[in-house]
Amino acid sequence: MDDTCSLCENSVEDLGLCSIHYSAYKNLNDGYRKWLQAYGETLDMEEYLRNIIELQDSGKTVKEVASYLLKNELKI
Amino acid sequence: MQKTLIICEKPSASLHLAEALGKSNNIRKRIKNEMPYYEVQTDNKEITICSAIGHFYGVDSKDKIGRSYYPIWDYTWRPLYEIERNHNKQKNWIDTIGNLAKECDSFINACDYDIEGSLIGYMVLKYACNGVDKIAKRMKFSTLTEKDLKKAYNNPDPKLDFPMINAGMCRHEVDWIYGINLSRVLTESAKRYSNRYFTLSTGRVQGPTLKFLVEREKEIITFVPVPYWTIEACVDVNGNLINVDYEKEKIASIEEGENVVRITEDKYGIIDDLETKRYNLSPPTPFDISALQSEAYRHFGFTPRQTLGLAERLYLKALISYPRTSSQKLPESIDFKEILNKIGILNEYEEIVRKILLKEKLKPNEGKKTDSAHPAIYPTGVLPDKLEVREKKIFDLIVKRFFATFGDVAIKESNKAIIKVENKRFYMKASKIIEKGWIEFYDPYVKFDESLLPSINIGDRVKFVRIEAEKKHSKPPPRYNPSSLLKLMEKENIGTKATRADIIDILYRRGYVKEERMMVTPLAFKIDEILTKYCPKVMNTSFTRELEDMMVNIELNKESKEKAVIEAIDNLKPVIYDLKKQEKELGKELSKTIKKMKQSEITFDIHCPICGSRLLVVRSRKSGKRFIGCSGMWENKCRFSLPLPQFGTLKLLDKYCTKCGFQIIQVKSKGKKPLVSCPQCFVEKKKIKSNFNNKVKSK
Repeated sequence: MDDTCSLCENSVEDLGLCSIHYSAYKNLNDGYRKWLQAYGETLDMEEYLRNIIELQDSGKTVKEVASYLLKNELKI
Repeated sequence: MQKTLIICEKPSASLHLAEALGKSNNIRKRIKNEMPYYEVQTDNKEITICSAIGHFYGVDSKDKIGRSYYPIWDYTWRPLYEIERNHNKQKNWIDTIGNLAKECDSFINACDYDIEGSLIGYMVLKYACNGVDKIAKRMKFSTLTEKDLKKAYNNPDPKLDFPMINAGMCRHEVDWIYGINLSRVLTESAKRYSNRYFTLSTGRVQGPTLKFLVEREKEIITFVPVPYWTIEACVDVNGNLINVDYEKEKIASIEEGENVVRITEDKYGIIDDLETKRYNLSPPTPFDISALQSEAYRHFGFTPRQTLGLAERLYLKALISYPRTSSQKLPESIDFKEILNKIGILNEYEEIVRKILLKEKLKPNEGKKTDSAHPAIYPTGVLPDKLEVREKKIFDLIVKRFFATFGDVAIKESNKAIIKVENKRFYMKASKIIEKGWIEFYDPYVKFDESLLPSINIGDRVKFVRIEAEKKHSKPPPRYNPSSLLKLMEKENIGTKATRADIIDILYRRGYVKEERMMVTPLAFKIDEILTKYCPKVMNTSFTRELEDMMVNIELNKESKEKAVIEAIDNLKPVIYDLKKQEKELGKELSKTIKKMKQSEITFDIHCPICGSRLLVVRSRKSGKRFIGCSGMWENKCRFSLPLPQFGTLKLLDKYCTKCGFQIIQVKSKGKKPLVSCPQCFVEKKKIKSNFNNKVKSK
């Protein structure tokens, strides 16, 4: 089994991601709950991720995880 | 006749001391082996005043072993010229001081009164002057003015300040053991794996400081912005349009935001209440070094290290008191009135001084922080002769701060009108300074925005002419800059006022951070990851803080230096042996990161306009010249290239040309301003120029 992160060359911490990409992934999930509160339940995950990628202040690794999720049908 | 040898820390300090102790006609300047010193004749004494040039001695391994060997646990103190390159001049000075000492029968250490100064003087007296440290006295002063120096000379401590010296030795020894072993583990692991040398370092203070930066960078790169709304509203008061604030600063949902707009739009609000509050704004406290560094960064953009250097230059010109102080106290004994009267001679300060001297009692607004050795930074009253621009800025800041501490409390009045629309509240706010107090003395370093409320009364109606819910997103925490990092180090009590600025500088030199807003590089992430994994204790702030506390106790004579050093070594030994076992793995990880980082330093972010491959900085094997080439040269036979400047250190900036979009480069050459240019536009301009010249020639 490959023990490097799906998005970089660092070693895996969880879900096939290194510690930084994994915490970006966790933050993305937490963030989605807050975005749902802000926009209502109609906001779907794909739209949320596209928004995150476009925002200037989104973290670099967060954008990488968001792009990866969009490419892989929201699966890690 | 008795003959005394006085050791100062720097040559300019020895000149001030000579001038203070002798009259102009009985000071003789001598130069021996390139070392200047002064002979002063008083009524019953001959005094020789010489100086060191900073530290002459440093910690080194006891046995002479190679630069790549580790671990090292046995150490000794040696002259720096035996340890490091470029210290040959110091040998002549040490020999000359030794020869002067042979002719003297009493000795005084007059180096700066702090840990480093005590240690510099002690080492010279012990090693260069054949062990006279046991009979030497200590002069203590906070300014290089004639008055202070004479007082210190006439009332020296009968012996050297050994607790302070021990604390200094302990700090140097522990830092050396930590620095040399940990840095060599990193550097050697990478070198042995890749056969390439790249300096890597860490240390007792450097490690935790880097950790602060890495943790902040992690927060930034994993940050997810969250939307919120603010209500932007404007009311019409007697024909004047005035912005008002909604009672909630942030609204978490679009639904609530739209609801506020719907309720308020085109409605009239009623002035429900008028509130007036007054606040006292206390004068600032006198400058300690970190407050000066932070204020100089805020107003002039000087890094902490630059500010420290400039302040030291002012101190050596006797214009300000000793700057490496953590005190916010100004004792009355320094005679405020005399200093103010002297400074008031200068036109720019005359008016302020006149106002301050009208006060019945001169009492500065002291802060809580103290320093056993020195008071807060203050101007001595000596008037500057010629100052360079940056020195002048720091001098003015120190003088104005000194003035401001004597000022009265300033009073600020805040006015608030509360506007009600249904159950929603809006605030119309204004504030003004009604008593300037100290603010007047600290101009231009303090600014307040002042505004007035229009004439309104409770019960008046105001119309909302504009209201909208504006969408915003939360922001990541800001990156540290050298000034905010220094403040954090001080708050966390790691490093000393003398070393913090240097540590920050090292982080830049090692390539761990870049840019003014300190952006952490992949190499720093790797170093942090390795050290946190294998020696978390070394990266832990509380560990280095414990050592700092221990050193304070040594200074207070409550703890022995030997015990502290042994304890520190015992803590480090298992860490180093464990790291040594993992050397190959460490080397592999570090080498990979260094290679990637080096690669990114020469790879442009933009792509080749012909084939779309990455553009690189390439060096021609034939001519040795560097140029921009295309990485698709081998695969696509792409011949795209652009010339580059041949001299200076090249850096690819994160900036792009506004005309053509090409990545901007910077070239730094020693003693010259950095050249910032667009390589593509440079070629275009050159073409235009050469066409023009050809046309002129043909005409």
